[in-house]
Amino acid sequence: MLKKRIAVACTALALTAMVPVALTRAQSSLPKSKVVKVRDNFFYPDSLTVPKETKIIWRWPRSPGDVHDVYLTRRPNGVKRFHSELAASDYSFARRLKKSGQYTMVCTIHAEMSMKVKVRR
Amino acid sequence: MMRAISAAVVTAVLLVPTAASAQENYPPPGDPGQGPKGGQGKAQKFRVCKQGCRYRTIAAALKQADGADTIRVGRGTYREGLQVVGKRYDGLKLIGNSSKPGRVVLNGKKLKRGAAQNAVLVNGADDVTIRGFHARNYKANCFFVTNADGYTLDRLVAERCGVYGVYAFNSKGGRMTNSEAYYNNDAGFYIGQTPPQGAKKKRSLVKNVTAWGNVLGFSGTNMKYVTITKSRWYNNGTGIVPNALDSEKFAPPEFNVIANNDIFWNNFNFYYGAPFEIPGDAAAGFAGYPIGVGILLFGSQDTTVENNRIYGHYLGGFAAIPQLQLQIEHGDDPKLLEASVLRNNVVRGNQFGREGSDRNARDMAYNGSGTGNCFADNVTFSPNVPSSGSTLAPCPGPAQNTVDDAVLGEILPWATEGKPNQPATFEKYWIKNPHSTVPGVQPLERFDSN
Repeated sequence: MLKKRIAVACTALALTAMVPVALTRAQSSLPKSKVVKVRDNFFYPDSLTVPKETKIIWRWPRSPGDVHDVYLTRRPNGVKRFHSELAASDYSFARRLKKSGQYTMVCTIHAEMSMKVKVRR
Repeated sequence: MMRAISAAVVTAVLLVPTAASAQENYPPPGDPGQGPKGGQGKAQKFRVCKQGCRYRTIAAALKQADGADTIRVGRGTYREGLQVVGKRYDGLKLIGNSSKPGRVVLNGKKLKRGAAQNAVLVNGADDVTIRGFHARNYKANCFFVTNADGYTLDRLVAERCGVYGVYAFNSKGGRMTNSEAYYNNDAGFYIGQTPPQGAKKKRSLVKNVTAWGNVLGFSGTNMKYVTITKSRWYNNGTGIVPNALDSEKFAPPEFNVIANNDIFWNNFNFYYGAPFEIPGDAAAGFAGYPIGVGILLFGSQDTTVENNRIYGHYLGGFAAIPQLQLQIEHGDDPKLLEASVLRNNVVRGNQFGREGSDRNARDMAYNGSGTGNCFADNVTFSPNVPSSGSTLAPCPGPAQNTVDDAVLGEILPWATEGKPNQPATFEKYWIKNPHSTVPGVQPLERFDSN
């Protein structure tokens, strides 16, 4: 009985020890995300370097400011253009960037408002 | 959005380097189009109503319609955010109740995400008509047209939208008529970033509209070729504000006409409380708006202000100042520097102070900067700034106006000393004169939710 208990405990211990390793491996393969704040009249941050498959989430403020959107202009070959709603508050927009290269996003209302994302290979 | 200058802004502007390449990838709506292509097929009529129609939502009818078509919407409240996007919709007519817009309501309350933003967004579709709707409670704008060559926004009511009531951006040849905007937390009506045009200009018309209870009655950032006439602007924070800003393309505002309007009692100190949410980022550099001005030219060129009736303002009836922020921030950019200057503006034939029965604190204020600016045949009952009138050159305007530096010292604090968290600071320079009676209108200086 004792041997059995010891055996169970050892197995449990071994499993427990394996969990962090497995978790770490799972976490490293999980796609990442980055939040970009949309404000009057800027994106924050306005420059990012991220690995492939990173999800970029643009988040508008809770309180109303001016109207902004996210419009993809410069992009790697083969990437489809995207465009968020023209929104003022309580809104978010997300896109996963799957292809490496340089991306430039702007607000179509505010000429000064742009940001760049470099997606690493 | 009209921005006021604050000491904080000026300081920040000096500290923060400008993004030189910010405009390099700006999308291409420089020319909103060449006019409508027209519907591709035979015009159809769509009927939307709550019961007994083929379509119960306007969005469902929009999916089937194209530009030759007319969508008629019956009485009721529709909880939708409508999108009229693309050339397919050139010429579309979306009609509610022309005589009683209040019977066809677009309500953004409880809508989520994108649908909650704009009651009607027209983007890249020319000559679309929106008529006979009452929109309220959208997080961005009530009625919004962008990238359009021609639009008709008629018989609309825009209430409690998060930014603008009735808004046209990067568009030309439009009409905003017979409409009302109130309790919007930026401007009731707004025309921004009008593209420059060739020899044949397509002017836009704002006529027979009413704006009250907004932060600004009318804002015009870099707007061009716009006539604002036969309209009423009252009980806003500020009445009409053409302005030059670097946040949008094509500065300055120019070739505009503000004629034959009633502009009165724009003294609404919304910082004490309002039926809308005040933007919370004033501390980041936006000081707030001067409250108590009828018409403020914050940079303008070739603009005519004539035959308006302007009265009952606690700061001033009319004021013109160069866009100093552009001068400070873009001193090395000849185009923006030029856009900051007041040139060839004509202020004539305006009746200030309602024959003395409802005087402005000051009638006209101008620092004398720029060229070709002139004043003629205005009837005044209050002091001007400067009181000597030395900057108010007769028409035609001189090759070089005469500057009085003391004027900016007097009127800039109207904008720079206001602190949104201390509403009384916006009233520091107020001079209150008794009001006359205007049938059907009560002065709104502080909002009472009861």
